[in-house]
This record gives sequence, C-alpha cells and structure tokens, in this order.
Amino acid sequence: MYLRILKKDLRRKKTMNIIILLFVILASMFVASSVNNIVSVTTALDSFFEKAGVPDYFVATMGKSSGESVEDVLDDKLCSRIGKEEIFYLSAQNITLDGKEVESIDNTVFIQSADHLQIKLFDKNDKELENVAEDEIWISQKVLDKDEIKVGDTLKVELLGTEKEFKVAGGVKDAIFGSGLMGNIRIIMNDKDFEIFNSNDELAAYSGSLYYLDTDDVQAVETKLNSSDVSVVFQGAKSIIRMSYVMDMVIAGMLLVVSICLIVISFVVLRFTITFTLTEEFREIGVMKAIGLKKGYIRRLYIVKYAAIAVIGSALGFAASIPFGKMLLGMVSQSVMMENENGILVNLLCSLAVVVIILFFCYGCTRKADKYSPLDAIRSGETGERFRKKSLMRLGKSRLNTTSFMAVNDILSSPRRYSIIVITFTICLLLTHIVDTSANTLRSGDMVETLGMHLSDVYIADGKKMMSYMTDGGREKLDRDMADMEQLLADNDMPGKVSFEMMYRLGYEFDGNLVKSTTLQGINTDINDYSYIEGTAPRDADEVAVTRITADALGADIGDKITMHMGDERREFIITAIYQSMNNLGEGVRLHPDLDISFEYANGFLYYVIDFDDDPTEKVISDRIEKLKDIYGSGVEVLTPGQVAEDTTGVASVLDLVEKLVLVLSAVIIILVTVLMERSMISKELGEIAVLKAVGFSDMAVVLWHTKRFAITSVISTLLCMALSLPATKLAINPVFSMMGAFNGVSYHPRYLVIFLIYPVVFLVIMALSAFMTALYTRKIKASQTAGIE
Amino acid sequence: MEKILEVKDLCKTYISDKRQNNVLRNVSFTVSEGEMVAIMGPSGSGKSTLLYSVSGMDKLTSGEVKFCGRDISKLSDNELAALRLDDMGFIFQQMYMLKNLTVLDNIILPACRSDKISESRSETVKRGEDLMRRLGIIETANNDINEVSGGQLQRACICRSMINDPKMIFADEPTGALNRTSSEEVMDELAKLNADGTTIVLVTHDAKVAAKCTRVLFIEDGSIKGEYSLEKYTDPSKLRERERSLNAWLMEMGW
Repeated sequence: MYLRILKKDLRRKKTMNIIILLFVILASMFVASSVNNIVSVTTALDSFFEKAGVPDYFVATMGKSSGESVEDVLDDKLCSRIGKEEIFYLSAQNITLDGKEVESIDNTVFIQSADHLQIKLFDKNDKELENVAEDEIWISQKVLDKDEIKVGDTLKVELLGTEKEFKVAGGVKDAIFGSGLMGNIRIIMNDKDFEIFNSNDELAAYSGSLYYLDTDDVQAVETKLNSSDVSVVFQGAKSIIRMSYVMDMVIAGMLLVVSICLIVISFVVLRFTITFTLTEEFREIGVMKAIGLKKGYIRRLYIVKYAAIAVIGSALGFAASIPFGKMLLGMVSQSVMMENENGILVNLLCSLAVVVIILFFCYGCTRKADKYSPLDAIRSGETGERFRKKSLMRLGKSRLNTTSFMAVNDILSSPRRYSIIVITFTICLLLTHIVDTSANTLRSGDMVETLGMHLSDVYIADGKKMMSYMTDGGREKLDRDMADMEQLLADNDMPGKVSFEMMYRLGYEFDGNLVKSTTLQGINTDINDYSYIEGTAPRDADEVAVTRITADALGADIGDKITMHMGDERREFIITAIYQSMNNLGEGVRLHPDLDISFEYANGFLYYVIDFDDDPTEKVISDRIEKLKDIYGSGVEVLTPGQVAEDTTGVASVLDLVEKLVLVLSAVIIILVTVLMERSMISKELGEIAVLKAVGFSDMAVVLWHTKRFAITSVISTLLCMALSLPATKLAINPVFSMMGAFNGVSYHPRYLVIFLIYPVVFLVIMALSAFMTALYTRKIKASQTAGIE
Repeated sequence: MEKILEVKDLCKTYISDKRQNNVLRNVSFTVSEGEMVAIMGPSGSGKSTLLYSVSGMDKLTSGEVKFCGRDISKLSDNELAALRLDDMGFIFQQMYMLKNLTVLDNIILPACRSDKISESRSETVKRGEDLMRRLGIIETANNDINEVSGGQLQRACICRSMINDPKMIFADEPTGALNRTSSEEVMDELAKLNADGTTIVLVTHDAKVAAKCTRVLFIEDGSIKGEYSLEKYTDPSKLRERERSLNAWLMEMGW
C-alpha cells in the first residue's frame, strides 16, 4: 500500500521530489566531506608527527668536531633516544638549475644521506622514502610546490668546488622542515653521493648535525643545552615544530570554516525544503483526516516517502562526498599528510546521519499538521496559521513599480522563507571576505612590523654579501657597504638612508630562568620606528624590548633587569617595552642600535632596508625598485614591504588558491540553492502566477518579479556582509595570528573594492541570472491554469 | 449595438496520451456591447475552455476570435497580456488573489501595472476604494485576504476585474464557491455592473444565475446547441419567472 502511494506520489509531484532529492544529495555530500575534513585536519599533525617519528626535542648544530657536542651534554638518563644525522649547510647559491640559481630555494639547505635518516620522510603518495638511487635526490615538497623545479629536472650541488649533478626524483613530506615557516630545505641523496661531500675535509666548516631527542623532561634538556657550549644553530621542542605549521593550519582553518559553513547551509536549506514541501501537503493531510485515516497512518505515509528520498539522496551524496572531500583536503597542504584512515566510515556515518535528520525534520513537520482538524488542514494555506498578518507594505503608498513592490513585499511578508537565501548568500560571501582579507593582510606592507622590522620603502636581500658580515669584523664591512649603497642611491637620484637588520641567537637569564631567544638589532635604524604594544622604546644601549612570549618564558616584565649570555660575556639590560613579532613564532628580543656587539654572534640577518629621503609616491617607489633590480641584477632580491611579508609568511599564494576554490564553491552553492529555491517557489505559487497572467501580467513581468526577490535578498546579504566582514575575519583569523605571536591581532587590510563591490556584484549577477533562468519556467504556466488550480 | 466579441468556427483540441480530444467544435457566436451572456452546459461540455479561448488565455486550435475587431489568435503573448490587462476583466470560481497583498492592493494591482491608466498611485487607490465602497466591502480594504469571507473576496475579485475599466468581464463560475446569500449578492453586483453598461460573459451551472443574463448559450460536447434570449434584468420580482422559462428551455435542450 505504502509503496503504491509512494510510487504515485513520486510520479505526480516529480519536480518537488527531484528538488528534495537534489538537496538531500547536496546535504549528504557537504556534511560527509566536511565532517571527514574536520576530523582529518584536526588530527592531521598528530597523525603526521606520529608516523614520521618526530622527536620530543630537536637540535641543529654547526661544525663537526669543534667544541662540545650534544652527546657530551646529554646522557641516556635524560634522553631515551639521541638520533643524529650528518648534514652540510648550503646556501641558495650552492644549488643551480641550468646554471642559474633557483629562486624557490631561498633559505639554508641541508644535504644528507638517505641511509642515516632518523625520521621518516614520505613521498607525495604518503609512502615512506626508504632508498634514494645514485645520482638522484629527493627535495622538500614545499620547493616543488613553488613550481620552479619539477621532478626530472637536473640540479647541480656545488660547495667549494666539490660538485655533482642530480636528477630530482620527487618531493618529500618532512614533518620537521615541511612547514612554510621552517625556511630550511632538505635534500636527501644516496650515501655514496653524500660521501663525495663528507669525505672532503675542506668542507668541514659547512658540516653539522641534526639531533632528534626523545625525553620526558624537555625543560631539563633545554636548560642543559642553553648552558653548554654546543654550537646550536636552532633548537626546539615538538610544540615549536607543531607551531611552525601554523600557516598550513591557516589554510586548514579556512577549510574548517568552509566545512562548517557547508554544514550550516546544508541543514538550513534542507530544513526549509522539507517544511516547505510538507506544508504543501496540508490539504492532502486534511482530506485524509476527513475520510477517517488515523494520524499515525498519515504520518507514516510521509515518513516512508521522505525515508525513500533520504536513503537514495544520501547514498548518492555519500558517493560524491569522497572525491569532493579529497579535492578540498588537497588544497590544504602538500607538505602535510592529511589522510584520514577512517575517512570512508566517517562519510558513511554522516550520510546515515543525514537520513536520520531528514526523518527527524519530517516527523516534526507532520506533527505540526497533527494539531489541526481536517478543516483547518484543508484551509490552512502555507503555514497552517489561518490569520497570520502577511502584507506589510501598501502598494497604494509605494513608489515602486509593481514587480519591485511585489518582490520587496514578499520578502518582508515571508522573512523566514527568504532568510534561508540570505543566510546562504551571506555565508558564501563572508567566506570570500575572510579568505581575501587574510590573503591581502598577509601580503600587506604593515605585516613587516610584526615580522621584526620597521615599515620602510624598499627591502634588499643579498645572501652572499650579508653572510660575509657574520664575523668579528663584519660590522665595519657592513657600515662600508651601507655607505656605498647610500652613495649609489644618491648617484641615481633616489637619496635615502640604508639600515640593516641583524639577527643573533643569544641566551637571557632572569630569576633563574634561562632562555635562548632570537635577537634582532637594527643597524643604522631609529629604534622609535618600530612598533611596541606596551612601554616605551629602548633609549640607551643597556635597554631592550622583548616579546610577550620571551618575557613570559623569562618570567620578566617591563622594568626588570635581564642578563644576556654572549659567549662567556654577561651583560645586563632593562626591559623597557613589549612588542609583538611573528618571527620564530613570537619569541624575540630587540636590542638598541647603539649597542656594540660582535657580529660573530650573529646567526642570521633579515634585509638591507631603504628609507628614501624625499618621501616619494608609491609609483616613484615602484619605479625605483625596478631601477634597483636592474642595478643589482638577478642574484639580489629587491622587495616592497608587501613582498617581504608575502615571502616570509609564504601562505598568501596558497590562500589565493583557497580563495579561488571558495569562490567556485560559493558560486556553485548559490546557483544550486537559487535554482532549487526558485523552482520550489514556482511550484508553490503556481496559482498566483496563473492569476497574475490572467489579469494581464506579461511573462516577463512574472519573471522579473521572481528574479528581483533574489536580487534584493543578495543586496540584503551584501549589506549584512559589510557589517560582519571585519568581525568575522577577526573571529576566524585572530586566533591564528595570536598563535604566531601577534597577540594583539594585526591590522587587517581588506580589499574593499573587491569584497564590497566586485564579489557581491559577481555573486548578485550569478544569483540573479540563476533565478532569472529558472523563473523563465513560469512562461509555461498559462493564465488558463487558474481554473485548474486547487 | 456594436459587436465586442466575434467568435467564428472556433475549434480547440487537446492531445493527451496520443488521443485527440476535440473540446470545442466549430463554435460561432457574437457578443454585443452591454450584453450579459451566460454559457451553460453539463460538466465537461467545454464551457470553461470556451471562456478561456475567447478571452485569449488559451490558444485556439483553429477558427477566429475577434475582440473589439482584433483577431486575438494573431496576437503575441505580450499583446494578449496587455489586452487582458487593459480591456478585459476576469473573475474565477476560486477567489485567487496574491497572499502577501491586502485586499485593496490586490484590487489596484492591475491598474498600477497598466500603461492605459495615467493617474497617480493615490488616485488609483481612491478608485479602488470607490469600487469597494460600491460593492460594500470597503471595510475590508486593508485586510489580508485570509481575513475576509468568500463572498467578500469574490466581490473584491469583481472590483479587481473592474479597476481598469474593461470593455468586457469574463467570469468562470463566479458563484460556484459561494453560499446562496453570497452568491445572490455577487450576481446582483454583476447585474448592476451590466446595467451600468459593462459587457459580461460568464460560465455557470446555475439557472438562477443565468436568469439574470440577457442571453444564454447552451453548449454540449463542444458545440453550441442553442441560444436563449431574455430581457435585460431590471426587476427582481420577475426573476422567478425568468428562471422558470429558462429552466423550461434548458429541459428542452436536454439538460
């Protein structure tokens, strides 16, 4: 009996049943893939670290034999494992492709043997890298992501005359150095090939070791290492390595936001469609009651129908969710293993949950119909509430033309119905706002202030030359070079001041706490040019500013006197200010420019910084950058503040990709929701459309009436988005910046033209066009159908 | 009197399940200005199809329908829509109105849409209110349509059909969904409109309704079988007699 009724119903109400089926498919697909992605993303790092065997503590040291070694300092009691890999430190200049330097290799490169790996590396298919053939190398996947080097290319590795050419065999997912923020790049080669470099004693100065330490007492390991003479290049606990993935997690976070939005949209639309279609059935329910069918029987009838649709739709949605979810996950990171081993099960459970939820909605809706008597149900109209006030506007008092008036009045009179469209459109638009604003902020010039520098006109990186300052006499050479640069600028009609950012890794002590921290010192800079969030800029050489993370690690605050450990030398400094920095995930100390400190303690550098004297316009600065590029040639990078930010954070380009995905996804959602909603509305308003045609409304007037309703809702959504854009972006992204060290957030740079005009207009056009095309169906409704409408 | 509607050899055929159904077969008749014509016939005889075909709501299969001298079969959909908007009024058995508009707004909607009416919105509102007052439903002007009775709603539909001062009103079973009292009130209003000069063509099953018309066309199996003329209805006391004579004719026609 049920099956016969169901078969007839499916045939008779084909359009509405297909609409519900499509929504169920969408809901099942979105929910299943989104939940799976949420599980994958939130567990990805733990799972990746576990599979890779990331240690509790990680140390990179310089030099082969000089001074103390890690093994000398730490013993078996403190560390259950001390794994060691021999490496060579190479700079970008040591790696060439077709005789040219590789731009995508812009940081220190480690070369090492595949035979002595202490951590598991994985290929792009998440298969462990076990052997590397002779004459081949595997390189960090993040380098391949930049698309300059491809698998099969031949790279030449050269160090002080020792050289060999290698074919790139593939990219490796490296849990330690895989993140964008860990600038270092690993090159893995066959042991025989590695020996070519390792056996050359002249290269000993470039050798070093990577230590993997498993311990129950990370603090004790750190304290021992900090108080030793081990030549540490960098060190960190697992938590620091985890933090270095924060930028990948920005993308993952975006995916979470997208996933949650998709789930919200799915359920909101599904709930609406079921309620909408079931209220259409009120008349039939009334008739069935009138002829004496019991409530339970009637309810079962509808539940069977919706169960059939839900099962078919969810099954199709489940099938579609697998490739869709993989596509989304693929966006997150090529450097992180994102596989969810129980993915299919999660998808299946979610699809089943969608079936249960649909039945729950259906049960709730039919219960509503139970409340009414047969007569009520027959007469109830769309909601079952007979005397609800509907019309809010008055045509007689309005200046709008009839179709616009009807469109506005419909929206105001049935806000719940249109709120679904507003919610969908707003969520889609907000997603694009969040992604676009984040990407633009990460490449904005202001970001350099949270990256340890002051905002200037031009930044220049010349690795070879800058490396040469890191000696005892480096300061004099730097001063000469900066003076030469200023002369060069003056000679080329662009007078300006040149300064420099030097980096040290020094120990600091306060109240028994010993912390090693990245330390920055501007050379030839004005300390007042930097931003501070508390206190005042250091005024004398014995004053410093520290980040909140470093202050907390030391247990110190403004006014406290901390002791700097510089070799055997100890110096005292007063903390006068707190600043925020995303360098080294928030740790940092800023020294006064006047402090005399040997550059032999330097372990890195940022940029030459140019501030032009004549306050040039952006156009002039841009022209000057081009001129400087011509002067310095290809080995030197000449960058704007925005490019510096983009280079340092390294995710803006990935966010651009995510933005494209979000745009396409939003457009598809908007088209689907609009088409299905409009089709539902046409089905419900058949009588009204026929009457309007009977009284002389043209086909186009009806189409315009329907299209305008969607256009107006998209305008409402755009206004809502304008109000919510920045708060939503802050809500979603501030926690990420905070994790990176920018506790006070950052200054966001929305592209107002893009997010408040271009995207809304594009989405409005998409929605209006979808509504228009769907509304053209109303042309098939004839005025004469008025007589046949119940 | 000038002929408003001229129908010649009108045929309407539906094809469903590969079967041809000739709903109207060579129907010919004319309606002159000021007439009130009732189309009667058994269920399925083609009454409503005839009404919708001659009013341009439905396409003809063949034949000719001239409304005010214009062959409506040659008009485009937009021209037909404009014709219905400006020169025709419609009343249906189901009192269909837009749910989100008040009764008054439903009435003035065609006037606000029409290019023929060159008046301000407030003047349109005033005309709408005058019509409502005339039909005794002015108190429902700002009500939603679910707040008024069926009889009031049907009178509102009459107001809507009148708002653009049409040359002819087409009514399909205008009293079909009303109780006896409401039905009589509505028919009295239509008779009054006709007395004031409005031409009306209506479809009805009810001899009492048809008795208020000036002519009755009896249709059966898609063809007009007979025609019965009556004096203009002015005296309610003669209604019973008109109804009796009409019933006698209908019996002759085999109803």
